[in-house]
Amino acid sequence: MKFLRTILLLLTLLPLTACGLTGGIVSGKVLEEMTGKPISGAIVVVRWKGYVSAIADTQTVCVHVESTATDERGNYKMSGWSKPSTVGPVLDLKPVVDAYKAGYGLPSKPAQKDEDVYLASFKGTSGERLKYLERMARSSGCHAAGESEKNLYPLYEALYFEARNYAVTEDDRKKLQWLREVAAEIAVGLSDQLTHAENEKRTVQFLREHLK
Amino acid sequence: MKLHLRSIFLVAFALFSESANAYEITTHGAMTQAAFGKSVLNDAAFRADLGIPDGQNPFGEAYYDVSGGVIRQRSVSDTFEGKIIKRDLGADPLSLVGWLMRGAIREDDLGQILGVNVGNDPHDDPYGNIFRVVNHFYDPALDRPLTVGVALGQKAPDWAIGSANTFTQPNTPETGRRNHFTVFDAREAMYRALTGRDSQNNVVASTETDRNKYWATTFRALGDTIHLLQDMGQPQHTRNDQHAGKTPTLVTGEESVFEQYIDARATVTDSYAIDGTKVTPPQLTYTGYTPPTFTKYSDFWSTRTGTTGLGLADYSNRGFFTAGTNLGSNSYTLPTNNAASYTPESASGLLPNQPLQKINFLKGNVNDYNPSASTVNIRMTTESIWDSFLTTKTYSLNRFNYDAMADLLIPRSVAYSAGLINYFFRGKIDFVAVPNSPGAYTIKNLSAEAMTGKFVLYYDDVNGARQPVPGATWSLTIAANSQYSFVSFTPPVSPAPKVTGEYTLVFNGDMGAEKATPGVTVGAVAAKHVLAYAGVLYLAGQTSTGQYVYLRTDQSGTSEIASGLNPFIFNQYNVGNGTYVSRLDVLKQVRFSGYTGYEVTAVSVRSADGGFPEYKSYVRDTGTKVWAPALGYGGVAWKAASTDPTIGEFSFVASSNDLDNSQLRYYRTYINGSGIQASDSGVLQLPPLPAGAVGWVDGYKNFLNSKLVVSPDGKNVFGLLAFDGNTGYFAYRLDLMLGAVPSAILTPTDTWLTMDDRTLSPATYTVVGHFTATAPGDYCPGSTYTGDITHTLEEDTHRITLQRRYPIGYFSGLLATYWAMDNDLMQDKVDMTGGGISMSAGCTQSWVYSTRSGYVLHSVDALNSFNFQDGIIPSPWRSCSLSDSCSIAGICSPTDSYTIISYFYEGYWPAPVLVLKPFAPAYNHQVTILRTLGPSYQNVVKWTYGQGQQFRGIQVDQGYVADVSPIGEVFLATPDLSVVIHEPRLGGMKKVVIPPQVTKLIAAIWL
Repeated sequence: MKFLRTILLLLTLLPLTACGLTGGIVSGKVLEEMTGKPISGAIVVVRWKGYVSAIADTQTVCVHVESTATDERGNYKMSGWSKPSTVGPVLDLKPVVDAYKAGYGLPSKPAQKDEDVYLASFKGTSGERLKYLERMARSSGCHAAGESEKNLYPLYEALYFEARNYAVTEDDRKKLQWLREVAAEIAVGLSDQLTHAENEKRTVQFLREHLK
Repeated sequence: MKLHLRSIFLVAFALFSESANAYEITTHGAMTQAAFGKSVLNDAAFRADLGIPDGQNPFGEAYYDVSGGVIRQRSVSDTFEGKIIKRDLGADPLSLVGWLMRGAIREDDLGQILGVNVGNDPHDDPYGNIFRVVNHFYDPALDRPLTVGVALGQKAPDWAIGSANTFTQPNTPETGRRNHFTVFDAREAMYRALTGRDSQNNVVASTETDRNKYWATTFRALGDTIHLLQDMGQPQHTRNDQHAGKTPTLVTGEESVFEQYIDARATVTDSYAIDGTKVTPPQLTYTGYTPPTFTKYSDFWSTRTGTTGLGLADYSNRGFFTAGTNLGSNSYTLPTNNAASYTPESASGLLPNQPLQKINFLKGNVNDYNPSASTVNIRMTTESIWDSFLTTKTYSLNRFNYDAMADLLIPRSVAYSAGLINYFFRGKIDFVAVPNSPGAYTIKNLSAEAMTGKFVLYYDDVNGARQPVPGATWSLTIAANSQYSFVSFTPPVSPAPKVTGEYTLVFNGDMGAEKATPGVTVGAVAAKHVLAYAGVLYLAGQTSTGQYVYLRTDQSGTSEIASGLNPFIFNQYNVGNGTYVSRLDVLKQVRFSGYTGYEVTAVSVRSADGGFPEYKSYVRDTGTKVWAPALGYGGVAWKAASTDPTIGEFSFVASSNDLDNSQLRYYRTYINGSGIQASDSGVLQLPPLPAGAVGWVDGYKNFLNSKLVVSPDGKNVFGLLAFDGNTGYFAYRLDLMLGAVPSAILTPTDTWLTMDDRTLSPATYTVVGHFTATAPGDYCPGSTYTGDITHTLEEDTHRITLQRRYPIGYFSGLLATYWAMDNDLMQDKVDMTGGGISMSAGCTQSWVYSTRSGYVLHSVDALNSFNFQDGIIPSPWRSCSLSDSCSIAGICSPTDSYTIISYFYEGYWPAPVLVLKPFAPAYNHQVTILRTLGPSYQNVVKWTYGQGQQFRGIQVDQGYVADVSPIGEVFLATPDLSVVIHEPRLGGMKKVVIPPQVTKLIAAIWL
């Protein structure tokens, strides 16, 4: 009986953990890896990720995203936020910081301070650059972010505009088209209240008007 | 009470657990994407065999949740799995692989706790949202599901396959099961997609759109199933390790970060914090393990053969530690808990921020009893760095252990998933027409297991409903790799078919360990979409300004040729002024490739409009059907293959220069004595003129003007004709003998006989009919001719070959020829059945008739002047000139001769009715064949005395552009497009639409 009572007590506490999500202020720097010099004008994306616990399983969720650009000293600062959770209790919610700037790529090793990002001058072929941009686009999503997902658009738009310079082959052009569509989807925001065809129509409309 | 306790446990887990115990959903999506690539589904030809639509969105955006008789439609989620599939993994969410990935992702759908949705999946389960994950565990060592005091769910293979106990009742579905995306459900959905009917033969999908929803359901359910197999590649799922909590240490990191770390690798994350440091995780490797084969579904999970099991759960259970069942926990006997059995490895320099820090690994063997796999020694676990101060050592897992595990487990998870897909689609059947036996078909079991059940032929009607062909259901047992011969059916007419000649043969029943329960489960399912001949019509035209336009017309309509084969060779030089007729000479090699699948396997094209002739030759790859330029020397080319791989396949090439010296060049690919593919080339000297002949009429040079015909196997060439210098002509066939050094001989075929050579031995025949006709002769109106129609069981022995047989080509697998002759040599008598009519010699007559052997329903031999037109035999009388002597007024025949008509028939009984039809009165019936468009006399372009150049009575005096398909479909147009006849019959080719800018047609090739 004591065990059952404990369970019931915990059950009553559960809604408290599920009622809201909060992210604090995040600030840091984007630096050139080899020289330590600040990189201005880099797009910084901060995604708040945690996980939902489900019996014997957990799933990683990204519930909020903000983006901004670094100043001339490579600094950025994101304001705090709070909103109700649409995914239940989220555990271990932490900001994950990534940055992008045209011509830069992965460092030899990440900056060890969570808020800072190293970038390195990209050295490689145009095909390799296209792969890097594709990789960046694939790994930067924040699918449960709700409306804040639209904050990713500056990043995807920039990735698309840079990728346009490198698409040579038919395969390249397919990747470019994929990136273009993803950028448009992020901009318009997909809705489960609409059919796939309706979502697609809105996306195509955006493409015609904004990402020609 | 048991359920109540289970609920309490589940809630407790939801509250306390903070570990990741399954591969993340993106990882499942990625593994499924990779598994698709290694499976039979990645083969477009395989998908076409099943009739699975292709493309970015082949099935639509809806699928079904079927529970018993209740069918609920569900829709895809763009905001959940759609984002993962498209954005994270770069696949089309509505493609076939997208549907597989959807299932693999949605199998992890979460439930609610106290009314609050957990996670961001759509929570759209029509029967209430549940935590499916509690059914994702299977401990093969103890044959149990996730168990914490009580079993919290079903065993993963039971949940996946849909049986209450798949190991003991593999073919009995669990009634009222909660999972509606099991193997049983996938099978039922596949059957519904193929037939539009459920296992009880109720119509559940009456349109193609509805059937496609069942294809979507099939692949969604398969995706769910392989998720549950992939989970067996995560040792926590096979070692009952629901372990929660964290034990962060400097080196080992958190206890249960395996899946999150693997997810970071799957999603190519730039940086990931683990082991107290941020790293750029290496991308996952999905390849390196061959998809295994088993003979039942449950074997993929566990073969239940003790510690040497071959299932994925067997492998991961005995081979790896987990955070909660690490060395020393004594949870399982394998891997051994004896630390002394492992090899220590002390490594430093692994941590970027602590390069001097040593990590003490214990290395051990991971055994894989799959015969093609090997034992691998890996970093099994890691000693705590503080252990040197402790008497009892403790162990943990870090990312280096995880990397070692992932290197083995991820490729296996992918390969086992591909193996399961392959097993699901292992049934392979075919429905093949028997050459030369119209209406007879063979059903082939091309699988490695016997099939017992129903084979039903279906067709799609004009409204898109799939209908069983009446009388085309066969209950059969066909052994593995065997066939059943023969079956036949009457092609359906009502409801009318959407595409004539297209069918889907569907098998369902028992196959190996998979059995049907009639009215409950369909058992194994296999299908073959029997494609009718699907040809392509290529056209060349010009605009009013003389620019060339090249078009292709196929099932999708008419379009300009942008890529792929363009068989035309025009250029400014060799297209000059003049007529547009016969711009091309074309030699095709046509073969039979199943059902109505006659196809052109090689084509050679020569410009024929003056100037220097130019040649192009192409051959079609047997497997891919892709055209490629023929290897060779720029001449006419065709292929011939030996069944002996050491002799191999030849490309023969005839070029004009070589033929001056009577040579064929060849290029050969073969397997040499070392078992390696090799190639060589050479020159084949062709036989000289045979003895008695003084010159060629149509010799080897005729390779280049389309007068010769190549057999389907490429070993025979028909149409050679030599002259004996007097009145004799000799027809030959060139026979090519394949070998390391090929050779050739000439074999006599028909001979143009002299009078003295005729054979007039009487025929044995039976009278099968009687006819009466009125002679329409210009000078003998009203005369009546009567006679019997005889049917001979043997070839008419009265047949006298007095004329030239021209080979036309292969149509529907048979060599078609036509005869042409003059009657100048007709001077002898033969008896006529049913009355005699004398005919005077010396009439100027020419006639032709077409004949086909074997397959053709009728053929006619006669010794006098009549034409044969598709079963209509015009009466034999002709008008004759005033100078002719007529023994019967107005009836012109050779002097003292009789006419015999033998109605010779080969085919299925009853014989077709013979109709006599008078010729239209005309003074002179001279006919010259200009172009044959198939095996029927109806489809010749001919010049007739007094009528000019015609095709089916249409004047084409100004020229024509024409070609015929391998099954005798006709295209003919006048260059100015005033006449366009396009008659595709099978395969769904759309009617040609000539773009308005094309004002002139130049050439046509129908392949």
